[in-house]
Amino acid sequence: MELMQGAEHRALICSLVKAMRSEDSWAGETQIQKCVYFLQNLMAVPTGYEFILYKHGPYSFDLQRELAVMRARLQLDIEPRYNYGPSFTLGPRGELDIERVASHNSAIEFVAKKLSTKNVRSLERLSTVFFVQTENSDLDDNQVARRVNKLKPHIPIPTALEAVEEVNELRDMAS
Amino acid sequence: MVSLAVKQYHEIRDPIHDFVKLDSDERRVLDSGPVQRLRHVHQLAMSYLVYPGATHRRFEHSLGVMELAGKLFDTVTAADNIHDLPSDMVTEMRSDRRSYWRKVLRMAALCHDIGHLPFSHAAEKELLSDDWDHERFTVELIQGNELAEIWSSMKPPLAPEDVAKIAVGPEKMKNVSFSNWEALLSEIISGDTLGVDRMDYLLRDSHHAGVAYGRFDHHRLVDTVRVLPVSQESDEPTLGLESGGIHSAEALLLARYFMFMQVYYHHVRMAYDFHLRQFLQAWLPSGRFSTDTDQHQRLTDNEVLYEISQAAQDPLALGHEAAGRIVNRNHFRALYTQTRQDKAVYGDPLTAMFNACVGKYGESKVHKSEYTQQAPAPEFPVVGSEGQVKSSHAISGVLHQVPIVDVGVLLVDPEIDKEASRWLNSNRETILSRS
Repeated sequence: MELMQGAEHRALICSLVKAMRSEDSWAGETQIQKCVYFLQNLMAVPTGYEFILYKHGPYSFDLQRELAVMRARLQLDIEPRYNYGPSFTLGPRGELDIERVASHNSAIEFVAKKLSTKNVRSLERLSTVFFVQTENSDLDDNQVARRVNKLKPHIPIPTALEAVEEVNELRDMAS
Repeated sequence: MVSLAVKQYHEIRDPIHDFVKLDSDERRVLDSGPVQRLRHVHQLAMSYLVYPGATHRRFEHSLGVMELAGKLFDTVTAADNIHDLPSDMVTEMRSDRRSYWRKVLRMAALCHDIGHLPFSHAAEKELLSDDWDHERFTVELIQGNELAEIWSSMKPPLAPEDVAKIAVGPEKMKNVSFSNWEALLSEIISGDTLGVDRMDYLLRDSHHAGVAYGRFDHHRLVDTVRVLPVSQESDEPTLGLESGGIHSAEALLLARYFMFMQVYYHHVRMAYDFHLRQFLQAWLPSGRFSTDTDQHQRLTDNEVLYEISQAAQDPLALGHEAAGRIVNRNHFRALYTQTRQDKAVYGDPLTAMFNACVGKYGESKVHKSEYTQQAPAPEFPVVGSEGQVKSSHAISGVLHQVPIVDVGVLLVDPEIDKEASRWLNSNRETILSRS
């Protein structure tokens, strides 16, 4: 499948942020990063972003830059959130191109519904588990949990195992 | 006869930090070819043609980054400043590991810019192969023979890969895994808000350019940086602040905004960057910088400036026209500067203006130059006096309002700038409505 280009990328993020907000998600940067990661790797939406294991799990610097560019293009805006980091909302030009990515609406809605309202701690566990599973398809659930604990020592093995179960359920639902 | 001990510490005077202190190992790295080359790479490319004082080089910036990196490391690892941290991180802060990583960090800070091409960022993106950037040169040079020999002779020896990782960070070494601790050390250098690279360049560039915009209370900022969980909803450690430093951080972010708008993306500097790229494209073999590290080391601003002055005098020389524009100050002039309001109403006014001007005057007379800041919304954890960690946005009323730097300028040949200005004024609304 052909990878998305700039305008399609931006339309996808606008559409995702809109769906996240309608689920009452905070739509902070971490929520957007992890939702796009699942969109790409669980739902096979060809965003083409490169993710590495970094802040709270898989993280794309390209996506980070895209979010900044979209603020400058007035497609996204940020607003403060009591006691927490900023939320993304659609800017004055945010709705304009959303129809371009209508074919991915069901994938976007799935991710928004299942993941976008989770807190940062939970998203870090789930996305790191899924990252380890995706990169190492030969590992069983226990090995995945141990690898997650090695990469992120602040996630204990039992907690990582619970996250493995949750990700496996998500995979079943998505397939 | 009295024998004097060999001096193990050295001081270098510096206009920003008064003195930069370094030990004998650091001095050997300072004296190496890759670091000495930075004496001949301008920090701000050709900004000195706009701000005459801005002739400073990457060399003194690298010393400043090393000085601040050491101070910030000492702050965050001081026993009184360590909050609740994961055990892996506490292990790295123990005395033997601590002194190893302190040395790695300072060396990485000293070397973080050694991969820069002539005139720093001015032509990097357009004139290097797609899979190369200055950070890749930095990694190659840190792991290259000359510096590897120095790393291995130290006691204890430093692993070249450790220095390279901390110097360029996880984004630029995608295939290498970073521990939380290593990611945090690289953040000390290149972190978006609390990284010392940015702190030093804002202060130094401001000082040399003679503008006050880049100043902020960096002493207070460095003293209040802590390692904290990202927020109360996460356990992952990162750089944050004690609440007393929040106004210094706000001042830094505003300083960054003003410096980018007023100095780094001044429209005349953008014009000179354009002419410099034109010259280099004509003069460099195949129109691109070599990716051979030996050739990279031999090419500095000095060699390029000499060639520019020669080419400006010789009508048959490669890049003669662009060289003449630089030497004779016959640079392109700003015809239209994009505004936030035009963007809100018209979407992409700069491209509309550019296309209309190209249609009217031809491609060779017009150039579109733009930059959009690609940094995330500045967010970091802040710990209050009662130990509760909150997002910086919950504490500050300023951070979420710092605008994104977004600059777009239409530049035209000075031969047509007056006529083009009249034409643009008469047709402005028609052109913009096409965007």
